[in-house]
This record gives sequence, C-alpha cells and structure tokens, in this order.
Amino acid sequence: MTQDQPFGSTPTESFTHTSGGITDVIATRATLRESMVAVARSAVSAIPASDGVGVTLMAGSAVVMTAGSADFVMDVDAVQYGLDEGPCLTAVAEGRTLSTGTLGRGETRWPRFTAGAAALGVRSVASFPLVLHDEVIGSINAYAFADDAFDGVSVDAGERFAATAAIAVNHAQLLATTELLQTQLRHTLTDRGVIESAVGVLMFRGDLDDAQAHDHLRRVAELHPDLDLAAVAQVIVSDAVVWAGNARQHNFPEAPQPDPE
Amino acid sequence: MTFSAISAVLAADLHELLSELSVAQFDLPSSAAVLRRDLRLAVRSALGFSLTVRGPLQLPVTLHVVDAPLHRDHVASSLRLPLGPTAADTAGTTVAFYADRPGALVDLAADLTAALRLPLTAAELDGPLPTEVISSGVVGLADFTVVSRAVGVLIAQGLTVAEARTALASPDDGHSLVPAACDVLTNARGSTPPSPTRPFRSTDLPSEDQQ
Repeated sequence: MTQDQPFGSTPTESFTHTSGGITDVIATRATLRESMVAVARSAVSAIPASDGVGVTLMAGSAVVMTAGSADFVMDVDAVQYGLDEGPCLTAVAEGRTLSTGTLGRGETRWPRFTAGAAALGVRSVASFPLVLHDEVIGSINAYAFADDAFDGVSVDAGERFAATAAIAVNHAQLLATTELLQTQLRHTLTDRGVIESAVGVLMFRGDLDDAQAHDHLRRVAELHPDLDLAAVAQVIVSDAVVWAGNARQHNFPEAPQPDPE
Repeated sequence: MTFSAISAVLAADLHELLSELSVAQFDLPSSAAVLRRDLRLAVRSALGFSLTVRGPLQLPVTLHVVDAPLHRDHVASSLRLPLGPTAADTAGTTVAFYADRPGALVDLAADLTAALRLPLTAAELDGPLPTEVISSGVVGLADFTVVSRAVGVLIAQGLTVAEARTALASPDDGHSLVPAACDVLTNARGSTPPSPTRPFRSTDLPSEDQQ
C-alpha cells in the first residue's frame, strides 16, 4: 500500500471484492415489482367496476411483495397488511374468492380495515387468490369507490384473470429468484476469488504452502476486525499490483516482464 | 428457509463456498431453495435446475439443485437460458431447468425469454444434456480456487491482473488452463521473490487509528 493511495481504494482492474452486490439484489426485486405492477394495471381493465387493483405475493402467510395500479391501492393494502386484517388475507387463508359488498354496510368482518379503507374512499373490495397446484402464492385485490361495486360478472372476470395472473406472477417470481441467485453466486465467487488470489500472493512472497498462506491471511484479518476477509485480501492483492507497477517502472530485473504479444 | 430445504451435499458445498465471507445478505441456500420451490410451482414435472456462472478466464462454476441424481434418460425436457448476455461481468451465465415430461418447459421458455427481452431462439429447449449424472452440489470450485491462486502468484511475480490471466489462458507449454495454473502453484514455493521496493509486511495494513 503506497502512502498516496487511501486504504482500500487501489484500483485492481476489474478484480475487486464486492460489497455492492446488494444493489443488484434490489434491482432483481425491482424487476419483479414492475411485472406485478403490469399485472395490476391489466387487471383494472379486466375486472369490471374496479378503480384500482393490487397484486400481493405471499410465502405462506407472509407478505413478500405488493404492487398496485395506483397509489391509493398501495395505501389500502398497507392498511390491510398493517392491521393483519382484511378481505385479501381472508381470501388467501381460505383459498377462495371474497367479495365484500359495501364495506361498513352489513359487512362487519373487518371493522378496523373497513374504517381504514373508508378513510381512503374505498367502499367495495373483491379479492381473488392466486393459486398454483393447490398452493396460494398471493392474491389480486380489486378496489372500487362505489357501493357494492362487484357483481357476479366482475367476480367471474376476476377469477378468470387470477387463474392466468397466477402463472404470470409465478414466472416473474421465478425469473427474479433466478437472477437473485446468479447475482449472489457471482458476487460470492468474486470475493472468494480475491481471497484465493491473496493466498497466491502470500504463497509466493512468503514461500508458504496454501494452508500456511491462508492462515497468514486470516491472522492479518484478525488485526482488522472492522474489515471482512475479502476486504483484507483485496488490500493484499492491490498492494501486489501497485508493487509490481513500481517494480516495472524502476526496471527491477527480477520482475518478469509481460509478453508483448 | 434453511439449509435443510436443500440437500445435505449442496448445503455443505455452499457452506464451504460462503465460509469466511461476510456477504451475509447473500443467503445462497435460501435462494436456491426458493428457486426450487418456484420452479416446482411453475412446472409440476420439474426435476431441478443448474445455474452456471463464469469466474476468471470464463472458468465455469455450476450450482446444481435437483431432487435426486439425474441421468440423461430421466430428463424428458430441458430449457437453457442465458442470463445477462449483454453485461461483460455476467457473460456466459446460464440457467438450465429440467423436467420429466416432454414439452413441460415450453410456456416457461416463452415467458422468460419475453421477460429477459431475448429472442425465442435464445432459449435452448431440449438441447444436449451433460453426459455425466447431475447431482446436487457446486461443481468447479476446486478449479476456480487453483486458477484464482495462480493469478495471485503471477501478480506477486510482477504481472498485472490482466497479464496474469492472459498468461494462464495462453501458457507457453500448451497446457490448458487448470494444468497451467497447477504448474504455477507448484513452482510458486521455493522461488526467490523479486527484490521489492520494500518488503511486504502484514503491518502494511493500516491500524484502526490510521483509517
């Protein structure tokens, strides 16, 4: 490490340990959310009387992700999932379509949700579970500002839409998980590669075998508990690269010169 | 989701891969198990998947997640897709899905290629399968380790990262990549290091109060 280069900032030619992988992880979730928003917007057209539609992805009883066709949809969903009470959760738990009629008028199953939805102007809800192979993976939630908005035609249309949407949402989720896994594996291998290259540097410089070099790397890392092993390895590799550059600049004869070819 | 959701062999391989790394946000076992679940939901006859990423010098490392060891004749349908084909750092990354029912992966191929904005021809349906049995686990880590260490040795000998990779990819003696890397490691010990401008010391790393 040279004095004029801040610790940990030495460039190493696309050979850097990564702590930025989480950005890619977030990006894969963003892609999934975009797909779910597209499904929600299609549902508004497909389900008569709906003013807005939300799509919820679940794992068991846990909400994994929500997306909506409009801001007010996200607000209503937030009320529902914040209270852990509402027609969507009931539809998912029971695995069947649930249409509310007019909230607050004869519909008394979810009093806290009803109050929250009314504050947002929502008077009717229809929830359609997304089912694949008898497993509920989420729901489509249609909201309307009108009283008793969802009749049999709306429910039939919603159920048909949900059957197709379940496949689309599952495929989007599968793709997002695939991209998440490849991102995680790629970044893990990048860090592992930096560590192993640092082991190689130490093997050569210290005349060590691989186990000794690895032990040495671990001992160095223990001196810097605020850094992870890959970050310490990165410093060692970067230092070696800088050293090689200095050696070449000063024409040290021992330093092998690269083949001009 | 825990390690128990995937096979013991795969869990052990991933544990080895992740050991000493602090990429805690990267829960590979859970992600592998979730993808296996998502695949089973998408295609009932799915048997598992293989995800291949490329390390230095395009060296493949493959994560296999299958319910049971797969012989070629168990697989009636397969789908292989490139991931991130335009980004240099993901070049060569592919995922392959397997199913035991012919045609089971056609709909998935159409949806995924559309989502990835790939031409349908980019999806390889029912292409050639590996001749060897596919078992859950991580394949290619040992070679990855050898090559990564050899790159480190060559850097310590004065090469840049790019030069080190080039030297391994085109060894003078005609060896292929991994044997060439093994040679580098074999010869690494006992060499006299070039005279440094200053000797490497672990104390080169700054103490906490210097940061």
